[in-house]
Amino acid sequence: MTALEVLEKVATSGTGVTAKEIAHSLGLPPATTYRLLNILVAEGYLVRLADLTGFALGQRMGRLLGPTRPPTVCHAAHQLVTQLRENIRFAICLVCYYPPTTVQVVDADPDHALQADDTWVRHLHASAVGKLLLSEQGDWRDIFPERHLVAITAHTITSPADMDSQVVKFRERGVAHQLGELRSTTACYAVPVRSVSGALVGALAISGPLERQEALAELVQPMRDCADQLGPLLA
Amino acid sequence: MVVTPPQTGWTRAESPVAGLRRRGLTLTQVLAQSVAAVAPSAAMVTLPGIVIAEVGSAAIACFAVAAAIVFLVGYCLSHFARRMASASGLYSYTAKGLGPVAAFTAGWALMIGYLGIALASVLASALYFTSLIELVGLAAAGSTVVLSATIPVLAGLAALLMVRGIKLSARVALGLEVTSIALILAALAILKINQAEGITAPPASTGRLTIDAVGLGVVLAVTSFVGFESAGTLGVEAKRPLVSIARAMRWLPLVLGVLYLVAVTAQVATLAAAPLDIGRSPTPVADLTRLRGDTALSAVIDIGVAASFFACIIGSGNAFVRIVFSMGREGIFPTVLGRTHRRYATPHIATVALLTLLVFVPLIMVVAHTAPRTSLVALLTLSAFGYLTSYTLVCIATPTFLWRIGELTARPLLAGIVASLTMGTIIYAAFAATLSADSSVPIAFLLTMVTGWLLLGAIWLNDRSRLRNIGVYDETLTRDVYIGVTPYGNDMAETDGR
Repeated sequence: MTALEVLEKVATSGTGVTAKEIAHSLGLPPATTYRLLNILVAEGYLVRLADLTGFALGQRMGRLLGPTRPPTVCHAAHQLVTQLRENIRFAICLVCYYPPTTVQVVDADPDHALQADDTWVRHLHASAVGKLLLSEQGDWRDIFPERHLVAITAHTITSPADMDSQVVKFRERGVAHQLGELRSTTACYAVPVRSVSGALVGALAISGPLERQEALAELVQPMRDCADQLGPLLA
Repeated sequence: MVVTPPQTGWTRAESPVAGLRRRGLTLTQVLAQSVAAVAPSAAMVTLPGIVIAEVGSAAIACFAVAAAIVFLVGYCLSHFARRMASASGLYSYTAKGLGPVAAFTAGWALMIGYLGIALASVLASALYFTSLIELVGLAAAGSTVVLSATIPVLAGLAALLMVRGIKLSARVALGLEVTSIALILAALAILKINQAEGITAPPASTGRLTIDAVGLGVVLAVTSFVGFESAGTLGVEAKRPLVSIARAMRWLPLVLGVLYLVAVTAQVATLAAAPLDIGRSPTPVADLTRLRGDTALSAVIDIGVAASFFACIIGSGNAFVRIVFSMGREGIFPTVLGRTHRRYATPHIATVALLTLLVFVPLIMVVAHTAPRTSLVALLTLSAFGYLTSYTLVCIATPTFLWRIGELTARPLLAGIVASLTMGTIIYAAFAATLSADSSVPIAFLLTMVTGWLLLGAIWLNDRSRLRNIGVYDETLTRDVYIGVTPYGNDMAETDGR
């Protein structure tokens, strides 16, 4: 049980949390915490970062949380995304969708550190990538119950009616966004990556500070061009 | 909770020790590699005899104390092994606790240890094979030609196995060790029974049990455990390195301790009754059986010991080339030594370098007509100094490492202090004992260490940034971190604001 608490603490504290911080915030004896951490690392649920001090979630957590397919992209797809990143100062990342509702980053932006935290998977209604997935459904309620529309920031959509209209709009335009809905200071745009048959397989997302949302919106077209090329490579 | 990111990103995309075959060895194979480097069956028939000659039946106590000391060292090592998977064992461990200079000292000393044992093993296995050939009457006794021919064959075969893959060499080592331990235990049992039947002299009480003699006994007994830490060099190649290597380091001293206690107990009665020069022989148990005219038993022991020594070439050799490989990757040694074979994923260039030493050094010793016993004892003593030096440093590094990463608790602190003080005392005792007998080996060791420091100094003058690379290990890579949960972290705003 304690091991699960340690695991949860690492998940919620984010990449780089130290053993001391975990022991302190859980109120556990240090020796017990260090022993549990070492076991969890040895089993692959956690990893010790290169400085040997910080911890992060390990790939084995992915198995617990759903998808069994490893998050890998082929070299050509990676090249495309890298090329796109070259002249853009914002964070660009490529994600894949796994039915029904799992979203996994397959190509994270190397210049913008990611933070492990679960808001994203649980709150599809608050993230651009999540809303893109919702707008793909006949009715978004099929995969995301109305009661899950909880407020994360002051801007998060909490009314089913608002979500209905947003989903329709996103479906028509082929782009989804969130403006300070997941974190009050960031905005994000996501464009779909489709297989040759038209199925939604992933998304290309760009995120940056909320006050730069116009600049972000202007980048949607180059993102789309890239996403079109990515489709056949990911399917 | 606010987490401060390190200056240089979280993780790398490629491991600094990439090229070795990752995650293949089981716990048994990791143990086999370590056991091979220890060569317990060879130690079982040689070292107890020497210790018994010094202290008589107190040898049992000496081995028990030695097992306890080595267990403490293993306990210290396991704290590193549970936290980092390394290809250079104690070298990289010391780097994480005490920094590059101490790490280089430990790594260099450990290389002397592995190389010394590997050289001694080539010579010893060749001697035993030759003695076996003589025994069946294929060659005249004391033939230098047969011995000189055997050395390159054995060294070459060992190197071939080492290059062909770590899994193969671990398997061969396991087979050889199991066979030789079984043979030696059986031989000792037979010897003991025969002794009990035809007992002629009462077990001699040496009657000169001094503190110095017991101290020397403990030192000698400790050297029978060295090599147990070589599992630490398989961090990249072990299936579950953080589990199996730490376990190997904690269990092996206990398992070896039991084996040695059995062997020493069996020999105390037998050897104490034997003429003193038998105890001083490089092959006391074999000589004893020969003295009794028991040719078959003698052959069994020869086969067992030869197999154990041959496995030891592989065991120590594998550990040695992995340290050389790591230093090659760091730029401490020429980078060509850090290459791995494309197909077999082993440090083949470093192995070829080792092979050269393994063939020529023993050959020179044979050709120079040095008495085999003198060469063997010199090589083993030299390597013992190397091992003990690196053990002392890594024990000091244990608490400092844990303190640095903020995970120091009372037990490893205490263990680190006690173990480093004990190891320091043992080195001092070993040095004092050998200096008074024959100063050439301690001087040779010091000269080799000074050569190492000169090399380090040259690197420091040339490009000191390379020293910062010291201590490479198999780090957590970007792809090992599970980031499927969220791409837009708390630090997003800060990153973009720059």
